[in-house]
Amino acid sequence: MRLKFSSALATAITISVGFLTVIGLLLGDRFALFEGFAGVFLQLTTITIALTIIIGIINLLSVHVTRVGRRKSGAIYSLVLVVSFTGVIVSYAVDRDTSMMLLETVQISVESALAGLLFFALVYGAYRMMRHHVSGWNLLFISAVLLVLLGSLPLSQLEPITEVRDWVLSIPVNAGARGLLMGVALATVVAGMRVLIGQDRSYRE
Amino acid sequence: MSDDFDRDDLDWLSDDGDDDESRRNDDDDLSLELDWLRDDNDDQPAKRDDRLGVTGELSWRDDDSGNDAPAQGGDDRRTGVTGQLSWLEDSVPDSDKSSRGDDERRTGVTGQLSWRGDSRESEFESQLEEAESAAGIDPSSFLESDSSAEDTGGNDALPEWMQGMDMPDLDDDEGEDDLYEDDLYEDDLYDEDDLYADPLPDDAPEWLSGTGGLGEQVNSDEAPSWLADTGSLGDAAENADEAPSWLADTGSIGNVAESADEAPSWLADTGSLGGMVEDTNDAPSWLSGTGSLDDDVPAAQEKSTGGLDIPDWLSGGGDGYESDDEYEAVDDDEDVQGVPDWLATGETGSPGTADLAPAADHDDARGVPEWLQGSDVYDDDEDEEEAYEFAEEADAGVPEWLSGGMQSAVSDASEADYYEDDDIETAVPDWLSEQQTGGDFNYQTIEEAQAEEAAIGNVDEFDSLFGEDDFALEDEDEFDLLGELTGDVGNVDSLLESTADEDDFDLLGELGVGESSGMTDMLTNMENAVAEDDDIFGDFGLDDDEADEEIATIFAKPDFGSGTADDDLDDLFGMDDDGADEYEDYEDDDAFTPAEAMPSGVMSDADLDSLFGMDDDAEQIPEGGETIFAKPDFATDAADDELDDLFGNFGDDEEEDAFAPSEAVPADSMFDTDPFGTFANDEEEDGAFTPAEAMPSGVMSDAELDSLFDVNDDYADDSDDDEDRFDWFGEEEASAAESGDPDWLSNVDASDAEAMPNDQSFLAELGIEPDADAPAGRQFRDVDDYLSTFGDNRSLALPQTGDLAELSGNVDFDDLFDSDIDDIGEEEKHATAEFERESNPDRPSWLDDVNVNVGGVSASTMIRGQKDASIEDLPDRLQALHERGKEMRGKQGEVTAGIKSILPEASEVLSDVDFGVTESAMIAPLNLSTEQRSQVNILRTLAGGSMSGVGVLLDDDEQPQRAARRRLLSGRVVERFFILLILALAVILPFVDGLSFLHVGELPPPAFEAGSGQIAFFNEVDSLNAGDIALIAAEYGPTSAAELDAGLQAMLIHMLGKGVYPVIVSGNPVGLLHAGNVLEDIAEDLALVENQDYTVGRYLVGDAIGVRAFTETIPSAVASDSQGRSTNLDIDSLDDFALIVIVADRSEGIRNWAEQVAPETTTPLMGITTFAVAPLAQPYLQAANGSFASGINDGITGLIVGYRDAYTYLTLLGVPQEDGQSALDAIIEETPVEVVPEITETPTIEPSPTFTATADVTEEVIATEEVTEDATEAIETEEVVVTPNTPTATRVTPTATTVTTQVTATPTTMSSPTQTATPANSPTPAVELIRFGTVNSTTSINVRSGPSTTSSVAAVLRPRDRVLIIDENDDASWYQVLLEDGTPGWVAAFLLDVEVEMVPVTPVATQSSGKRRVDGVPERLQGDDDADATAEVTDEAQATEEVQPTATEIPAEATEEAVAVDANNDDTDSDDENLLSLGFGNIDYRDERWYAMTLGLIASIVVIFVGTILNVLRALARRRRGE
Repeated sequence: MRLKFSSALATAITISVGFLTVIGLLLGDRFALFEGFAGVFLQLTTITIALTIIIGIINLLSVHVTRVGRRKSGAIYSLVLVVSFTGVIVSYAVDRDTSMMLLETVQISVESALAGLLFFALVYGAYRMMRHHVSGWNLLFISAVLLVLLGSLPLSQLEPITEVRDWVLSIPVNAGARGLLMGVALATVVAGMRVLIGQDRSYRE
Repeated sequence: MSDDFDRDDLDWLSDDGDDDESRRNDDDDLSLELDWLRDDNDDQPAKRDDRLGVTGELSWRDDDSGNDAPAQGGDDRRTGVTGQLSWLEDSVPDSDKSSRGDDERRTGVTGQLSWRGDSRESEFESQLEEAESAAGIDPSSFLESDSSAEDTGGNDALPEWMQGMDMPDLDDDEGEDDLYEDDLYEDDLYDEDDLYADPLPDDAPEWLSGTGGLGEQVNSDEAPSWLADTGSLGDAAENADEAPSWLADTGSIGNVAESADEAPSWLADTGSLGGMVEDTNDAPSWLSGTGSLDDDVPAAQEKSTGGLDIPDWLSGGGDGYESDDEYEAVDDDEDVQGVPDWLATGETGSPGTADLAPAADHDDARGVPEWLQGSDVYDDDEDEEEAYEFAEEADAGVPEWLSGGMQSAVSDASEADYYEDDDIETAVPDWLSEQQTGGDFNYQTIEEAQAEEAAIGNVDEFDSLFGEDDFALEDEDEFDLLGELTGDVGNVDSLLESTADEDDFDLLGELGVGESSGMTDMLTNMENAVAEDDDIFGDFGLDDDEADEEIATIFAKPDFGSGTADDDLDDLFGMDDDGADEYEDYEDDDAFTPAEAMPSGVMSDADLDSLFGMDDDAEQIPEGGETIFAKPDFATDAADDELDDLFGNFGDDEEEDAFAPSEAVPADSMFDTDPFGTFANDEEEDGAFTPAEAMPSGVMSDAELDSLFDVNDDYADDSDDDEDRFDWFGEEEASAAESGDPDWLSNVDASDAEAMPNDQSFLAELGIEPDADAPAGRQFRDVDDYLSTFGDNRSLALPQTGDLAELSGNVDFDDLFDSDIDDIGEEEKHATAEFERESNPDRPSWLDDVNVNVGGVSASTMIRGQKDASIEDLPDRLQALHERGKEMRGKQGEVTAGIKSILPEASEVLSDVDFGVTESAMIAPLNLSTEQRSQVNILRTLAGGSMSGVGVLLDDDEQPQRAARRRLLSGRVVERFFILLILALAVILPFVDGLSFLHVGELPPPAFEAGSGQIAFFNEVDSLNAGDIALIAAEYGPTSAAELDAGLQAMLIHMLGKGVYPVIVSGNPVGLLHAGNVLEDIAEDLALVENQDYTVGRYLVGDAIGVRAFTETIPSAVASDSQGRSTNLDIDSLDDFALIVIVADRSEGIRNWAEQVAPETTTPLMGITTFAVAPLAQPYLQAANGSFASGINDGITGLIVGYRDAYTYLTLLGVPQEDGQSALDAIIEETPVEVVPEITETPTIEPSPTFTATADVTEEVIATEEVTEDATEAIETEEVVVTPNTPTATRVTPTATTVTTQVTATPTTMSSPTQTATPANSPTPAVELIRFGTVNSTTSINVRSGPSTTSSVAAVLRPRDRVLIIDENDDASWYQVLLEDGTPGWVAAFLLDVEVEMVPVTPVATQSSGKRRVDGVPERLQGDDDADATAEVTDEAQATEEVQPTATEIPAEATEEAVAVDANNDDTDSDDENLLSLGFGNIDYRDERWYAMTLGLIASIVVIFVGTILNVLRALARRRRGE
């Protein structure tokens, strides 16, 4: 296997920085030097990410401006995007309150409406769930959904169901959630270790 | 001949058609040039080509650039008419084949089933070494000679075809080491730069130049069509008909049977044992003598027969010896005079002394058929070291059927290594290993190899088979077939070595056609011979008797009577079977047998026995060896079994898949009902492999053998008696023995005059019209004329042999062949390539494709690097696929004449394989890339019309039509519409006035459950002090705003009311702006100033990394706000925050802060989440609760979930419910108690730090003390005047804080809340203090009906249950508590931990109170002016004015009071602005929203339930209908 210099250099830098950061974060202020390294690297990371956002915005605009300029298919949507972007920038620069008003009256409303559609979609999906196939798992799922929904109703008559729902949420669901979080944590550790030892080199090429 | 010979002249035969590869060019045997299908033109070691069916050369790839770019590597190996189904990539350079070197193997119509990396070779190498070291075995020993071999003559009994198996010079330690040790499977294995060093002779027709390889050097368009086709098996089927029938056979195996009769007999026989047969006498005399036996050869040839016409080298002697000593030095019986120098050991060109020196160098292969040259292609040891070593060398030029065996040794090694790590390839040719295992490929472990070696005792067979001893023979006494022919030359290499220094090599001269007179003269002589109607032996200077004698000498029948017959046979195969034990081993182990030693396609020992008149009678075979050589007893089943044991399973056994010996040897032709296995009979055997198939390409079929040996194919069939059948064997021998002639001669009609060479007929058959004007014997002037007669006369670009002669008259062939292609400059190479292109403009382009290579690995090499595996060796899944394939519904292919010509026995073939998406029977629809499409097009082009059934959609316009447009108003749409309508109405109608009946359900609880995360959250915020700084992470977007805004608002109001300084940050830029808006709305109402009272901070990029970076850079991160303005905040660390709150709609938001921030600070962390995220936030909440004991903050300490908790939060803050009462009001009212405020401790004055305490203020504090002292009195006298709607009074009265926080209200009587009014002149009574008790027992406790253990148990409380304490007994040993159901009960005091909390009260006593104005308070916050009881307060306000309090200096506790006051305001619906209405005015339709949510839930439940029921019923109905 040939080892390219650039690849080796990138790997060396990554591993070095990774270890310095880990050491700095672990030791904290007991070793200010390492802590300083960690802080600098983290800041560099955030700065880099911020730059990527800027680059992404520039690219987004360039793409859509090009589409508008060439009147490609769907250029009208690109035009909406460009105009909206420009309007927000201008409004924010000229009158921040107007920008905030736009945010609240347009974006918040639109996104809330989308959330409402999601509610409808979920209900309709549950409604049709048994259409294609009736199985035990489907029944279990539907039962759980109905149980949680019923238990959430503010009806004293449904107190027993509420208790069951609380138990479901506090025991099985909580256990599942913990399992998920533990899995995430383990995967994070593994992924970090793989990067630290150079096993994963997604930064290469 | 000159050393300056222009090598360009040789390019016609060179296969270095590309620009970058040196190719091999060492062909000088034209008869073998036909083997141009072999891959000896590629960069790989020549591989075996075991395609069996009409497969066609369908592979292609692209790598003429020679770079590493991926290219299509074609490969095909198929059993059956499969067509090329796949192509693969193999651009891996030699040095990096580990992952890309591909290989495919298929069995049946399976397509590409597997591939593997070539790196297995290196693994195998290491394993081999390990095995060697571990077992002490040198695998090379299998190839090396040993003493027994030497004793018995080693390999000198090998038939000449075996002699061709040139091996690396094992005398050369380097070569040997390299061969068997380090370099065998190294990457250099495929580095052929040094392999094809020698250019090819230039005297072949250019169309033949193509026969040296697959590629561009093939001038196939100029070649006779039938020959051009031979390189492509598929096309051969079509074009074979055009070929001369006798030559058509050379390209394919099957046709041999049919058309061999039409071929010049001498040619049909060449290259095979057939050379020994009768038809040889038809061949030109110069050819008939080469390497083949001829029945016309004098039966015996004395060593002193020199001087006869027979070529000296064949005559075995002559007068070439310059002295007797020299002669003696050669051998007792043979000499090498006149032998072609590739065979001769003596001084070529000057027949005479044979060079007895063992082969040391390999420079002298000139003139040797390339397949015989073997290792001699190398110019020097260095080249040899770098070459492929054993397999490559052995295969370099060896007939493919032979090379296949050798190459497969390498391949099998990899294969074995691939399939089983422990296996080890013993370098045995596959046909050999197949025999050993009865047909199944069995990759031996080293242990097995050892066992086998032990069983064999020696490996002479193997050694001799591959001529291993050739390289070790130094003993002049060693028998050598070639030595017998030419003198004691030891081996081919010796022959070749002996010509090392010859500068005037001349094949024709060596043939005795005049000294150095070249082929022209030879042909002249030949023609003369024709003219003279002489026989072939006459051409060679032999008269019949002498020739017979000579042949008899060479192939002398062993004297079985002397008991050495077996030894003869041993000699033939280099075996020493004298040891009975050894044979026992053979039998026991089913180990090595003579038949196994035979290369695939070569007759078994039985054949040979009969051929050579040997009698393997049992008496000569030691016990234990009977199985091998004993006459089978066909009368018994056991006999057949024995044969089965010997050759594998065949005959009576009908196991189709079992390996049949006929696949390797034509043994069945000897032992089966049909001794020579005619095709007619074999065709009836379900298409089983036939000897003809196993015969090397171009070699006679068994049918030919039948005729040659005069064997009646029907002989056995005519006899039902097994004994008779076998007697044929014995009778012939007996007859021969009786006559004293070799019985093999008895099979040959030696006296048949017509079988004598008939050059004229031969030449006529070649289509050569003799020059009538030429003098007799000169009709064919030179070989050019001869070669030019091969159909196509466009080979004008060929160098003429005459030209060669004209160059100097003494062309140095040695020099020509010594030329290392590397010596040829790039320019010359390019010129060569150009030449090829120019001279072959119509050459099929696919030939270019075929010949290219990728990283040194050519497609053809890959083709030959694999072979069919038996079904049993395949993985299960592939076997299953195979079975499925057999069951596949497919069309029966037509057995065309072309197929029949290739596979005569084929009774059925599979039809063309459909690729398609439309008619596919086996392959799923293919999605082809553009590149793949182009390749399919190429495939189509190559396959012509045979692929008409390909169903691939190649054109974009052939895409399937779109599905029919959906109906606009389908049932599903209607269904959706109704569901949407139901849900929409459910959430909208509750907001409609007059539809209060839709206000279903109960409002959220007025208080959080004791011990819950919610109450923890509330208490945590409530514990903040004015001036504290709280960090709020608004990690949510607008989508969740409807659910989370309420909680955020409640918390912010709570904080701001307490004077807390909130700082908002977010990893969601929109969330940051939105949260900032929420905060600013509240702050604006409270006249708060950004960056003085609150800050909308930064956007934290990078999610978890951003959060972590924020923790590391707190000072700078909070130094500026979202707009870059300075915040003037002086915060050094997270600990400087009093509280951190995460508002998140994603679990990642909670997780990032809980994991990245919480461990870094002691500041409490709390969360506000949506209902959906709560389950994933709950673990962190519990972790935090659990960690309190350890003092580690690793979680969140409080949690507000969704709108429900927000509603309760607001209620707790004092916002009245619909009935106008606050939450705790309702609780208290349900169990009216008399609350008697008691001063439990002396108030302390703790002015807010933001206040500048003045004397007036201090006095006011004193006044407060008075108030507290008079509290009881005030209650009693009911003189308390509560001033509602005067929140500003409390806001500006820091004393209120002191009072409320220090007073413990103790309910003493069952009084109404109105009795709990605070004393006059103080707003503090607006807050009531109540006691809660938490069960501190670890077990459940009893709640009794009275303050005594004798009282009955009314209820049970669980550990940590929290109850409201409403009373106590006299000695305070029992508390009266209020249960959840509203009933009171008594609990022992020691079982409860009591805590006091502040709750708002509803002082109904102040009905008359009005609003008032307070100076210093913003106008919008002022109450009514007519507040009667505000005078004193006003005074306080005035006093406050003196200290100039600011709004930001409002202590939080004052806000609580304000809330309380507002809660008690009956006029909440008034239009008057006040703090409460402003503070909570942002949540409009608070109750309606709740009812809408409730009704929406109900609707959802109904819809889901109904849908589920309907669908289940529908499913049941379908099931009932049996659908």
